[in-house]
Amino acid sequence: MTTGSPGALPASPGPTAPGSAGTRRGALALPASTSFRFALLIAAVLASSIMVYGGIYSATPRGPALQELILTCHAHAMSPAPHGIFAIARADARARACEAGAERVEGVWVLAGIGVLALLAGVLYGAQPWWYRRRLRLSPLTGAALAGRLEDLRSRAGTGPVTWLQQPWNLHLSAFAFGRFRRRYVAISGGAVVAAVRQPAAFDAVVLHELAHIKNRDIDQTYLALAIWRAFVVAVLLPMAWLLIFSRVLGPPQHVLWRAAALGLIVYLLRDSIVRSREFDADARVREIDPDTSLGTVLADLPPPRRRAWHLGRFHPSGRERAAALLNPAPLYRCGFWDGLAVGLVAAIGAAAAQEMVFLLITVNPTGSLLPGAIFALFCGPALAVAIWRMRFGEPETAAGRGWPAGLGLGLGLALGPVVTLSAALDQSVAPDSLSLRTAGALAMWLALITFLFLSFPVWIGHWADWWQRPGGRAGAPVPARGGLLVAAVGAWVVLSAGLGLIQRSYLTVSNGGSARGVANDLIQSFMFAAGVDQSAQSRVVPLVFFAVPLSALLAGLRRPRAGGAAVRASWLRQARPGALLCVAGALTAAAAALAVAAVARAHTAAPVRWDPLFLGSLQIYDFQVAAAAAVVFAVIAAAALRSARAETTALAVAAVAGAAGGLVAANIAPIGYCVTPLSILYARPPASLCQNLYGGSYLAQSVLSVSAEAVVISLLFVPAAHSAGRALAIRRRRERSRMTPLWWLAAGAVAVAVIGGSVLRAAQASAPGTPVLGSIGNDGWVRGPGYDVRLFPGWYDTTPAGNRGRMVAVNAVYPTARLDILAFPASVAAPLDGLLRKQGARPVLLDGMRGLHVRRPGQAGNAVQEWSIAHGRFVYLVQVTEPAGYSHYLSHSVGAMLRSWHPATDG
Amino acid sequence: MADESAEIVGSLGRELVLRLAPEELPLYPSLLSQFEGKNGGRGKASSRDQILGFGIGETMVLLTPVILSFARGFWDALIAEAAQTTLHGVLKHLHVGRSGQQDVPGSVPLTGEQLKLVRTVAEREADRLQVPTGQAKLLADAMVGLLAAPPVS
Repeated sequence: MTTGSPGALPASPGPTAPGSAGTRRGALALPASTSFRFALLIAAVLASSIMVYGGIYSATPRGPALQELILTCHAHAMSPAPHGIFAIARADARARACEAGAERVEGVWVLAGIGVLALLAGVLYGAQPWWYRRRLRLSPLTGAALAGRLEDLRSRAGTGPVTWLQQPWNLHLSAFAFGRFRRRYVAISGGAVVAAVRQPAAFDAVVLHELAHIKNRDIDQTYLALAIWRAFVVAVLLPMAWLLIFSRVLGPPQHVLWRAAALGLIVYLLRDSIVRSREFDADARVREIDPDTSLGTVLADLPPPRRRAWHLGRFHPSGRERAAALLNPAPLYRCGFWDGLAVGLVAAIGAAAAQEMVFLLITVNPTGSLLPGAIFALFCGPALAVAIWRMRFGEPETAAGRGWPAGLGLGLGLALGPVVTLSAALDQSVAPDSLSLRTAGALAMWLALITFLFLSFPVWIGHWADWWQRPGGRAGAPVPARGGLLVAAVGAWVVLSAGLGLIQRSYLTVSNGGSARGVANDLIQSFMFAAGVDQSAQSRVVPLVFFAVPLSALLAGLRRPRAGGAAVRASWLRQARPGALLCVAGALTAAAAALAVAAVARAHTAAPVRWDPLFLGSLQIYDFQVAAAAAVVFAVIAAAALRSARAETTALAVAAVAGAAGGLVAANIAPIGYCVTPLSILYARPPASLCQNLYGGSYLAQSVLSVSAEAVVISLLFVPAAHSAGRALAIRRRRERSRMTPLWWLAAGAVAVAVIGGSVLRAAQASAPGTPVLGSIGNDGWVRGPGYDVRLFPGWYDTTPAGNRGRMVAVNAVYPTARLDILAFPASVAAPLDGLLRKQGARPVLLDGMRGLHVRRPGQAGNAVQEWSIAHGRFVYLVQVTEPAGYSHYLSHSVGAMLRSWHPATDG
Repeated sequence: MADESAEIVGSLGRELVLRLAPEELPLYPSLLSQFEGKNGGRGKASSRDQILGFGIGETMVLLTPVILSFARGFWDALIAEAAQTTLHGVLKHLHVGRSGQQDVPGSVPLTGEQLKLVRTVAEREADRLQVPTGQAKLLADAMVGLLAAPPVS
């Protein structure tokens, strides 16, 4: 910030300064920074009110009655104790239905409290002009010449009608604007009336500043903010104080007090920041209305504020700050740690409050934690988008990836929000209320992980802003893009909604007194589940948002006419080539990593273990994650290596493409293994008949989508940092242009494959000991009985007791009650056996070309049994398949394959 | 008599403000009301009330309050001098000035002696109000000029 001698401040900035007229006009074309703070104020007041009114209800006689009812409903629903997850869920639903009516009454009570608050704020806002006129004894302005002069200024400012008043005994040169909807007043002090003649330039600057407030629509937001604060004090803070003094319903006072103070402080500081931030915008507007204004000189001559240390509590920034902002408008665009912290705190506290309201008002909420998160993300997501959008507009073109301080604040705020909520006062084993090494560690882990998850989000929004506001790349001049801001606001809302849902779900581990390790495990698993496995629209929409916003900017840019189409196309192609090469390299790497997992697993894991479907399932999930990790590595390489203005989005595209390729290969690892023996996990010598078709359909689509989405979501956390680090390194080495070559990329990919593929050694060893091996798999699945060979299907194990080959028994690893029994009898018993089967309704069949009988009958314990009797050579065989009822369709393929493989032994 | 006296002081003050500080005329009615104690007070104002306010620290010096005090003192002193002739002349002069009639019978210009008395009283009152010498002479000149000049509306 420029802080020269006040007297040396020039009247207007130079044409190339960041605060040039064009830029300033652009800033005024964007929503004012106060608008997002106002949204936060409303959200903060709403959230606090919900909590306090809920607490008040609990303190009334109805509160204990509701608690009693809840306990009774749960006792009834859970008696007798349900077994199994579905039974518990049904019992819980019954309990919810039982208590829903009484809870709804509490919800209506809370809504009524908010209604009273809103009404009070409305009355205060409406009465404010009358009160000011009375309290300050303002009188109508007299003097036709002065009125004419003021009207002339109003006409220049382009505002609507203004009622001019005067405050004769105020001898300072001052003015102030106030009013309500469609009724604007400007009061001129006695000193200003005189200054109209004695110091006309200063008079114009002061009056134009007030008119700028009207032009910027500051009146409504500012005075509404004040009215809301006053109503908040009366209708929320005072009842809260009463609650603290006379009731213990919210928990121990020492737990509640600091939380109540924090809530009040948040609202108070937001109110002040609304008023304070208005001044910079109004000054900028004056400069726009009157480029030759002497406002800079007037501001530089203002005395310094008395309370220097407590600047957050001031209504106005200092004159020196404002004068400096006229030269360098950075404060107009500033978005830093405190802004992020405010957004994060309000969003998280609001989501927790909304969760309570949704619980009270809706008996069955199919959206889970999404709806409460979405409600307050609607305030906070667009607020963050506006702030970052403005910040990127005002930053010099060389800046990249700014927004880290805001990200740090956002993450911390989101992490701290659930701790600050009033309901958290009831949690007995959470820091800081209950301080121990365990609770402090859990809280620290929670803060660190949540902060990390959201750290880069503002940087991404800044990147979206660059797509829209700098269509010519970073080197181009910024243009305001309100349409893009709308798109980004929606995007931020969606992402923050999902993020708040994750926080709501994961905080349970902290509030339940989990350890640092438990918190980390739970949060990481929840994140990975949401990123990759969860097939819900919520988890799919988030990564799409990060492509949709840049894509919309691209489409909007294509609609603009631009000169030199051929040259632009050539430039595009030149810029796109490195990204395309990285996509190819990443796809090859991810696919190779997936194949490497198979090869290493085959080489280092015992065959019976590999035969187990549970092991295979775990290995495939691991394979998916390896493919995703390889894709993330390449996304990070792309982000660090590319110097284009769109490097971050290109890196995400690399992640998506590489993840999709990896997912494609990982999903088909079994069919690939049937064709390529060194990659076959199941068989030492895969049957040639299986080398036919790759998997397709919905399974493949879901697998590819999952890996691709997981790669993109994880890349979101690392790409901005990698890009910033890459730029910083490049600048340090004074080489702006990339020297990365495709060869380098492939080398990096090979290293990634080696590292990632090598990790499977540990994964396979780690998972194999935990895998129960039920029996033998013979010789690559082939098992020989008396006079026959049969090939077990993967997942089936030969459990025949040693020395009793007359009866072969195979069981399934997933369904232990599924069995394949093959009994060999002397040929002499063929006739009685056939007679027995015919009595049970057996019919003639052919099995491997041999005649026999087949019968299906019910077995014991609900199982289904199929039996075949086949006579061949010296033996008659009874082949018996037992399948657990309801699971036949899962087993039919493997049973069929085994039966088809059964054949008389060639050697007799 | 008191009302008439206040009216005369107001008229004198307005004329003086018009001559010496015309930029303060828009404030004159309010300041006069305040001076006469008709207004309930100045009102309570703080920077926290004027949230969207903007002003510079410098306090503007108004002449009107000084002029009003001066006019009141001048008038009271003139009465105390019991210079009936002068008083009568000034009254007539001001009456004509307010009514805008120049040819009213009896509206004779003040004599030199009367004007001299006016100057003496004016200078003494300015001195009593501790107005610096140069500005005290200015006030006295303005008062004399006001009463010597033909009445204007």
